[in-house]
Amino acid sequence: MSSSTEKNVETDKSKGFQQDLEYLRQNPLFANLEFEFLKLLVMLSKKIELIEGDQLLVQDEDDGFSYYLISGKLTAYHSRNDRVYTLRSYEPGQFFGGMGLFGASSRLYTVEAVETSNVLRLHRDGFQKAVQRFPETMAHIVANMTAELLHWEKNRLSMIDDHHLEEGIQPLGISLL
Amino acid sequence: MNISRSEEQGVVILSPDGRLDSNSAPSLEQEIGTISYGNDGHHLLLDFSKVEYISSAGLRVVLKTVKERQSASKSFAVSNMQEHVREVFEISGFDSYVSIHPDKVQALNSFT
Amino acid sequence: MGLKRDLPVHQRSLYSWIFTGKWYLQVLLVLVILALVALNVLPLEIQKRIVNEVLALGNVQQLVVYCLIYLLAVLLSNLCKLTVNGLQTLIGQRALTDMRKELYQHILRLPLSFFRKTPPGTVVASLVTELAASANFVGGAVAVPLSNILMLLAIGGFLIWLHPLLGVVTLSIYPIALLVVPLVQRGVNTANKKRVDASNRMASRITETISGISEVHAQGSFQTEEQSYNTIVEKLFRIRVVWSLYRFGVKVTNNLFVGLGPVVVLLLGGYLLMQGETELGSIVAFLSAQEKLYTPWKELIAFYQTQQDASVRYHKIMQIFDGRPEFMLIGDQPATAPVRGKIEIKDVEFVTTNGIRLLDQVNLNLDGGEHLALVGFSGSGKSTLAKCIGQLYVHTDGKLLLDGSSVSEMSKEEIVRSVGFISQEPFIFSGTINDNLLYACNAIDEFPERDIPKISPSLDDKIAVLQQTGIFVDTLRFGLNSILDAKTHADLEKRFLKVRQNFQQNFGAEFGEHVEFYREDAYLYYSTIMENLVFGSLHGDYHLTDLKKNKDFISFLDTGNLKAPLLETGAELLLQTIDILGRDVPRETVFFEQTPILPDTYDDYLDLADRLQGASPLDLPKKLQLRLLKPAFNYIPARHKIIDLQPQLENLILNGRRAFREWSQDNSAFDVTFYSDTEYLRSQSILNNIFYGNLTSDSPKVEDRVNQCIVLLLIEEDLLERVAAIGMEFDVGNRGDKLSGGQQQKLSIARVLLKKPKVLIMDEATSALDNASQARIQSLVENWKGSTTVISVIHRLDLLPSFDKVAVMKSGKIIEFGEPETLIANQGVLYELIHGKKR
Repeated sequence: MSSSTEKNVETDKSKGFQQDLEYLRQNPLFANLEFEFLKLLVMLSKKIELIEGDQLLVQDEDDGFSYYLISGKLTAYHSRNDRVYTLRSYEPGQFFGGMGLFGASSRLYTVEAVETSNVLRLHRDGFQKAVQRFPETMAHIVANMTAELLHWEKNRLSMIDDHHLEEGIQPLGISLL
Repeated sequence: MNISRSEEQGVVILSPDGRLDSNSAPSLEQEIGTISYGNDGHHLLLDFSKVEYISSAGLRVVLKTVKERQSASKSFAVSNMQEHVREVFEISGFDSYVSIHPDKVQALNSFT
Repeated sequence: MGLKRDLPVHQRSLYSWIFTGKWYLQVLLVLVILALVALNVLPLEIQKRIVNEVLALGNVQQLVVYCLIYLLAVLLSNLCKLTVNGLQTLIGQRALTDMRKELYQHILRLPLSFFRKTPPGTVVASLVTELAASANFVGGAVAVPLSNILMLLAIGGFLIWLHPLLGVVTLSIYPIALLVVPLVQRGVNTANKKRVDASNRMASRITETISGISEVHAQGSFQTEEQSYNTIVEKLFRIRVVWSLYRFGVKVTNNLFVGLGPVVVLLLGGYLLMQGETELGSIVAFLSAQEKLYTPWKELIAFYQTQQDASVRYHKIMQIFDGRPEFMLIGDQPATAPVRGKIEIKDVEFVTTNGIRLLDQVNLNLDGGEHLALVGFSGSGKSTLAKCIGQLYVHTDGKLLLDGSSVSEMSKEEIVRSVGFISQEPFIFSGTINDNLLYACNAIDEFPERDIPKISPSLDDKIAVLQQTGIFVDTLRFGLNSILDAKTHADLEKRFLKVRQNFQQNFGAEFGEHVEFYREDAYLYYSTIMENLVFGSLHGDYHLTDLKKNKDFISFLDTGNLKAPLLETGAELLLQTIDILGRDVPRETVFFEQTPILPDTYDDYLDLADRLQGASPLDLPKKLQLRLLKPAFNYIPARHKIIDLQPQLENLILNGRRAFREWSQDNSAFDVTFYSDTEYLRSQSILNNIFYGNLTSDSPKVEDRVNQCIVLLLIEEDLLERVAAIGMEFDVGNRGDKLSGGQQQKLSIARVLLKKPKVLIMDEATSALDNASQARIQSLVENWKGSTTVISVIHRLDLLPSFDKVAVMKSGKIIEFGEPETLIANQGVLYELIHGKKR
């Protein structure tokens, strides 16, 4: 078994491949996973270039991808009754949409490109096939996911002052991890 | 294919019934040709509630009508499209040239 | 053979097949056999005469004559034997073919409940393997016993005529054998029955496991499955050994008895000879006749075994398929299309053979054109009810009427003409989209000639249903991405060139940065190396793939210093792929999208990689070099991220392009048309022809915009429907695996809509689709209120308002029925289902 820090000389043959590997490694969902598994994920991932206005995820639709923003800028928002409520923006190096990898589900938010951007995306079908190949990784991924959720929640809690806490805790955006 | 004709608020409403394909498109074209779009003409509304299917022949008639009335004083709209017919307009980009409305009331209002 | 038979196939005896088919073949067979028998007896007489008369008298001429006759007899007899075998095979295979056809016909129409009990493996094994034994039997059923018994009688008769005492004694062995052999045969039969059972079980096990292979992989239950399989295989091994031993036992028993024959002749005959009561010639004839007796006797025993074997297998098969269809295929009168689509369900019950009551006193009335939603928990019977209305199940009690006629008594033809049934599981057959689309309509058109015109949907009809179900855009895409068949669509080339011009004029500026044009002086990152080199299309029946194997082309590469770098590239691609994917990666397309190596050849390439260890690609034999070149030829830098394209290689290829142009002009073997913006590119897809290049952007917005422009241009040139028709020729792959799950489901729905049924039954038909598609189909169906009766089993209760009536089911009963708004207002069971239990 190889450790996650192992680098194979052969993979230097493709700069693109190496780069994508580095991006995937940075995803907290994939922390401490087997190198062989990550290489497979890279083979299943695709780089897409978007122009302003391109929508990656659409509210109420099931795209089935997870994304990593390589360059550019994205915004996430929720629509209700013809009004749009901005949730947050994404900067290069950030991940989102990971929940789409685990099972079919409709998104609660739309994520759209604000300027020309590049993302690396991985589809659920490919991901699940890769997990079938390396079944032990699923346990790790779930643990990573749980840690992320916890971390997120912790942050949220710390941002609410005592006064507002009394009125009720309202966590938001957790499904975009 | 039957095309029923009526008038409301000065707008001529044509309601084709059935399929707008290469057989029936010419008769629609003819019917539309009888409605002038000059100053003494009429606005035109196509009520698509009974249109089950539109082929490229039908779409060309719509396109021609759009072009004719683009800079004319009398305009043109389509209403009550069935979902899959609406989609054909979307995939061909027609929905950006043609004024499309969900129902007759909104369509008639759009002419004022 | 017609559809009407006196007896259903599973009740026919094995022997009834002997005389079906061409009876004159059997007559011919008998005649040839008679000749054969005569020709076999003749040499015996000649032998006797030679020994007794000719040898004694020293008449050489006579000797030669007799020997010639003997030779002639042998030749003719062998010729007859050949003819007999030929006729036997013909008769046997004809019977087998007929059996297979009729049994299959019978099986297909058996009730669905049969298929729940009987594994497909058994059906396959029965039709493919087990019936074959019956063929052997039927083929020889007349020939073998007749010829051999005649032979025995003739030779036996001859022997007795030669010397009655000796003859009778010699022949007496056989009746004894006749008593003993069947005893051993009984053991064979018992073992054979067990063997058939075990074989069927093995076939079923395999089919079951392989159909559920995803679950096996998901649970990692390989060892459990292997153990279970191994147990069956071991059992089959033991049974087969026992069976074979018994069969040999029969042969050995037979041989033992027969072996006694010569002993008797020598003993008794020798004694009689010494006593002067017979001649040497007769003894010789006797010994010779013994030999001749052996063969027919052996064949009779073998035939007996064949008959027993065939009988056991045949009866086992017919036992398995003992059942009757629940419906008639065709009615006596021509089917009249239902006028209203009115459904009446009175006290309908469905009790299974195990006594489970799936439908309990169901009462329901629907007027023609009304839309009914069937809801309830799992196991409430809603799907069963839907299937009963569609004649897929037959209810056990009560009345189910469609426009006054009882559904269970209607012929299949009547039902399918008026009722459309869409199930939850799409079943897409291998073939094109068009084949699948026409499946339901073709089934109806296959019924015998009536005065009702055939359905034969037009292209517009098909496009309409594709639009309605939401796969029109997909079909257009398939069409645009296909390569035009020059033979059938040559007239379109000019028209697509016009589209290309229009595209350039109207949209060239807008999309310029998103298209990689086919420029002679530029490397095309979105095309393969081969396409870059050739930069043209081949004419006639040649394709680029043929070039890859062509010797002249390879030597061109060699002289152009291209072969070595291409081999290196191929090696690099191969080793990288193996390094990243590993040797055990599942051979599925999704893993191989970024490498030019294809999943189904991966094993060959693994072997090739082993050969490359420590060797240079140039050292490989020619055949392997060709194999290594293939991924290099197919390498697309923009898509295959697994390696980077080296600048040196890029330049080499560009130079190679120029060199190729010169070379092909001198080389008359290849008629190449080079890419030019005024020529249609035969080796590229329609879309690439319109662009005169490759689309480079993945941006969804750009793609949508491009699609819009292309569709607009196609509409203007009246090519939209033609491209859709081309798209319908797309081959969907094995069980439709080239289509996504959603596409498969939509295609299943489209095929039923195409036949415009008066009554439409949807058994959770859209539940596998995404929300938008479900809504689209729901609103489509809503448009048919008043014209089509719809019964829909639904899960999503938010769709209820669009139905006229709702029936809530629980444990096989309808517990609430009425208009959705009324039932919700009453806050009964439906309300609870929607909003959850009251607190």
